[in-house]
Amino acid sequence: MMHRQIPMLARCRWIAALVVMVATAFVVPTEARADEDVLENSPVVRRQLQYRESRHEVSGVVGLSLSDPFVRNVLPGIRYDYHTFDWLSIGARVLVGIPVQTAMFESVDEKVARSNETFVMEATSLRFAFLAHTSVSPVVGKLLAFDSLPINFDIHFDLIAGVVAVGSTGDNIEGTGIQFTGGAGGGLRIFISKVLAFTADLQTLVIDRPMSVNRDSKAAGGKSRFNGLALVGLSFFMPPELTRAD
Amino acid sequence: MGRFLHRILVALIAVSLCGWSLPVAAQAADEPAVKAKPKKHLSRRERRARRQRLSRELARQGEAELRKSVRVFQQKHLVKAGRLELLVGGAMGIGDSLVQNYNADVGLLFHVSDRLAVGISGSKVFAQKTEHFESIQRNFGLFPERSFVQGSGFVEAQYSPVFGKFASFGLAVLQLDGYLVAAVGGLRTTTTVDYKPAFQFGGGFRIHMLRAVTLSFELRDMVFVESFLPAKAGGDPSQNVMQHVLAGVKLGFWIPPSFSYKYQR
Repeated sequence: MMHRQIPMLARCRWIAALVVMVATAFVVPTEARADEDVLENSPVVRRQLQYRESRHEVSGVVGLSLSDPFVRNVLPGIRYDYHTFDWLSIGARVLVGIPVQTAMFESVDEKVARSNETFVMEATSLRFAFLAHTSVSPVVGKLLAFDSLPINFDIHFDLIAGVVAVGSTGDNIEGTGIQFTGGAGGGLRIFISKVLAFTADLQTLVIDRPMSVNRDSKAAGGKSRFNGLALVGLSFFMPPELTRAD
Repeated sequence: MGRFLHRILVALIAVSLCGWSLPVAAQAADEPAVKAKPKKHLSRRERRARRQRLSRELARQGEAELRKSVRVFQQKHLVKAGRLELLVGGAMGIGDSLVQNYNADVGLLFHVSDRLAVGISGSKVFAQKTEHFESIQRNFGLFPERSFVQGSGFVEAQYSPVFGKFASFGLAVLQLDGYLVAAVGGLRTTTTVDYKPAFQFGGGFRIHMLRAVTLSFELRDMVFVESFLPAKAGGDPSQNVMQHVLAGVKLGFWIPPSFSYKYQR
């Protein structure tokens, strides 16, 4: 009989110990988890410095036309943006075109003139552009260069509409003048301080223009084309103070 | 006489004692009166509550001190040192008015450290004439000599001076690094069957999507010297420096796919 009672008592103790352990497992880890998960359900980005929101941005820019075979455009200009939100801005830009003849232009001029002495090479280029745009900055981040230089940046995309003036290097091409245009672009903005930023953009505008004359010195025919531009600039932001997101 | 002297001595001692004792009493009178608290007997529960309150206060002060002295550094999402990166991607030429290049690229990089990598890369180039090329033929009766790149191979080195992170509308944070690249190698064009020495330099960003997969965006300028037919019969071929600016996207697959940190979180 005694042999049967001792295991019963021991079993009761084991059950009691098990109950205590289970209770402890329910109580103690809950508190520990609460300590570890203090950031649970909190936003991914907190108290972010808003480099753009409610600020004016004025940029001096220089553009270069891409893939122009005969006349390459250098386009200095100015761009203005008002950033209604940190991710959205509206603005306008004015670019003035300075035509620079390429080696291809001179080569064609020289070679065609051998067979047609009256031939004078002509080609079109942009004279100015007045464009409005809205810009979205979906990517915002920060970098550390050389372990010591903090840099903030964004990647933005522009939707563009406005007017451009197409000019020619001569008088034989008709169809030049002012026309409406639209396009899109995107680029990178790198903040080197609270008020200064470098910008680099690629954009394309759809412009209906003949590229050049033909060997009979007549316009070779107009066509709507994508006119690619690469732009770099230096931006000034006002006011100089930054706000923080919640 | 002796008694008289004794009385004078006692009187002097009494005056001296008053002289020492009275100013002390006056100073004490200037200080706020401190009432001695009657010693309250605390119950066991009150003593425990008092101990717990003091412990909480000490813990709070300790944590505040700790926060002042401890800086938190975010772990890098991707450790590059000692790993291989197998690159697969493509690129397209930008800015060429007569020729449009499309590249299919493969490469293998060994990351010596988180900053430095060396490796090899190869490209099969699919080049085609642009509309401008056709219009020169059509409008001027000229036939520009073609120099289409067919393929290339390079030994390259990458240096990553920039590390960072970005977010999109606060949805997620991804880390990235920026790198500069320089490469030496050779390529073949349609003008001759010989391989020509070529150089590349450029830069890009590598987005650390997963610990075994990255996505790189880069811009490279490929430079080489091309020989064109002589302008006149019997003349020497003209040597022209050719440039192809290429914008590319590459997926990087990391070997081994996992890694361990030197310092645990």
